[in-house]
Amino acid sequence: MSKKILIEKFKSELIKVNGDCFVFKNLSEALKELKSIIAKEKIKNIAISTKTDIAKSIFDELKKDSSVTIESVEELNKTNSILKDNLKNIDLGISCADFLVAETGSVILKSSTDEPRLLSLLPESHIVISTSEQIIERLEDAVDFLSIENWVTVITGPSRTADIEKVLVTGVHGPKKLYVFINDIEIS
Amino acid sequence: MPNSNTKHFKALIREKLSDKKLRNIVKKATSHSISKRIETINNYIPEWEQLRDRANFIRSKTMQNWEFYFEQLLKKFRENGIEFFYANNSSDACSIVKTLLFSFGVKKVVKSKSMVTEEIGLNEYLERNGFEVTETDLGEYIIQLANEKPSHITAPALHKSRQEIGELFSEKFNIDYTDAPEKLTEFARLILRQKFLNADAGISGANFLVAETGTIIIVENEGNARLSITLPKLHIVITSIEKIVPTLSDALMLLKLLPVSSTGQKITSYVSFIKKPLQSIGSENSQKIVVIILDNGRSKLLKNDKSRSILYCIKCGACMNNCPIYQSVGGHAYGSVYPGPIGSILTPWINTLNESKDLAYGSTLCGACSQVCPVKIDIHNQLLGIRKLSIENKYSPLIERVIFKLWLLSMKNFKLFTLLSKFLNFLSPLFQESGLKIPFWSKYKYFPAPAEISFHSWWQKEVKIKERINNV
Ligand code: SF4
Repeated sequence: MSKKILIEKFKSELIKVNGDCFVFKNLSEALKELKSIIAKEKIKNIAISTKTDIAKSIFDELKKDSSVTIESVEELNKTNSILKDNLKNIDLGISCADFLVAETGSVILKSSTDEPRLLSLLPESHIVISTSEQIIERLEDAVDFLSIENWVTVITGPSRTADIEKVLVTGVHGPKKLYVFINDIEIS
Repeated sequence: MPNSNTKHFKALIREKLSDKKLRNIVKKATSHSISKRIETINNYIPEWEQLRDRANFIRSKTMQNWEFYFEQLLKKFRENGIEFFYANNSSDACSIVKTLLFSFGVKKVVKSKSMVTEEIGLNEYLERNGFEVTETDLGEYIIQLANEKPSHITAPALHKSRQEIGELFSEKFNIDYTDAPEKLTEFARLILRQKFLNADAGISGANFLVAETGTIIIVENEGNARLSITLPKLHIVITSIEKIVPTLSDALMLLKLLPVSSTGQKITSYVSFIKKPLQSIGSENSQKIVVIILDNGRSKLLKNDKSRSILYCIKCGACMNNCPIYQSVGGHAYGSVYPGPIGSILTPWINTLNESKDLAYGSTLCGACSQVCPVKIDIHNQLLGIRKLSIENKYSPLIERVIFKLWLLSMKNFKLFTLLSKFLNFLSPLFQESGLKIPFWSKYKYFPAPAEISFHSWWQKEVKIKERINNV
């Protein structure tokens, strides 16, 4: 399947599970969308994993924005306080994906010191930055990755429950909102 | 099994059957899950039946060669720095947990959903020993607040209406009454978030333990399991022996079936793959992971060719959703930790047969359970198997045994057969609608009136006459 079809499939699956997906060609497009999410969700405090270049650029750009405070995980790790205290008042966590799974609209994230599990877990909103090269068709295609890595989470949509009369409610313990940003490398 | 009381099944069935409100709630919830499941299979998984065959194959080869894969798993656990305990029974498992918690100086524990901890009665045990234990799955939290037991293996509060939950919250937390699921959920989120941040240990179950890599796989929707296994420095996994799968590919294959069968989701919101304790960052202590694997009678099943398939179960809950008995009485009627069809065949093995044999009679043997089971357990055959075992052990009532003895004798002896059928024919008006009112029987059904003339005499007359005519 071509990347284009996979991205379309990914997008439609993610929307079905109450997530959202945004495909961008360049940094300024990504920033524009990010800022509109920040305004919509009334986000004040951001933490970001700067594992990839595009995430680093986003970090640098958002630092210039005086309406929000943004910290990188790298910086947070250098402070003396423990991670959960650093992250508990964050409204938005921005992570870098390892893979995207088209079949189910899932994001695969490995956890590490610069991409801690809590970043995709404690904040009410979660944004994942990825590229079109990371998209795979099915979860099985990542089986080698899953067997090598020590801590991996497969995330599909925001946290959800249907424990009260089977009524779907999003945002129980994990994020209430999940956005996946895909940098379409072929276009750019 | 301390947390199970199946002795009153018959009485509870009667009680629950007359509870119309309960029946409506259970029916509505199970119908919802049933239609979601079918929708997903029809729309996305044309190869569903082939997947079930494959899953059955994986489960059967694993359980047949369990010791091999278990050894492999232990080796991987050792390599990956995961501590491990084998608990023979509930009390062993409980005291292992207690010792661990004491040695880590733990006071507060957060728990994510785990049926095995229900099975061993862990919460009550830990509370008696002075620990604060908080269930964090929303359904489990509701049940804990209400001081009840789960009524379903994947949807513990399935039997509760939103009004009941609203009243419960308003009473326990002194807040204004609301029955809006969004508001109740948000409220629980705020309270439980504090519990997570302050917890010293997290206890979770596991859906799969991968022998090849030592990976612990945890499937969930809420994020409470992720929080429980990430925030505290001690993570205890409590699970049972049948959770082992040989390879990661096998686990991914089973993962295709599990959420679809439970809720109709293609995949749950979160699937965690954990191989090692989390690295420490900066000045933080490093994490410790301890896995406790519970036997509790299950290894008897491993050795039993006829009943081993009971261990194939991946705890999806589809069999109970689709069971006409469960739909009518809900999970509490069973009195067992695992309700519904799978509970009726598993409980006699982890509890005593004599105490829980009645469960296997709470079935129409329609086979709906076997048809939906993603790993193709022959549940209805196993139900019959439990009945057979209980009869072989002479656990059936004396009167029943006498009747069947007589029946057997009469089937072997023609004269006795004729005599007994004549006698029954003579008695039968007593058992019909206008006849005697026999307690527990005529309340629900009557014997149909027997034919004027028995088949045997009819045959004698008609056939013999025809033969004679033909012979003439
Ligand atoms: S017996 Fe089959 S249908 Fe029932 S819970 Fe287990 S896997 Fe699911």
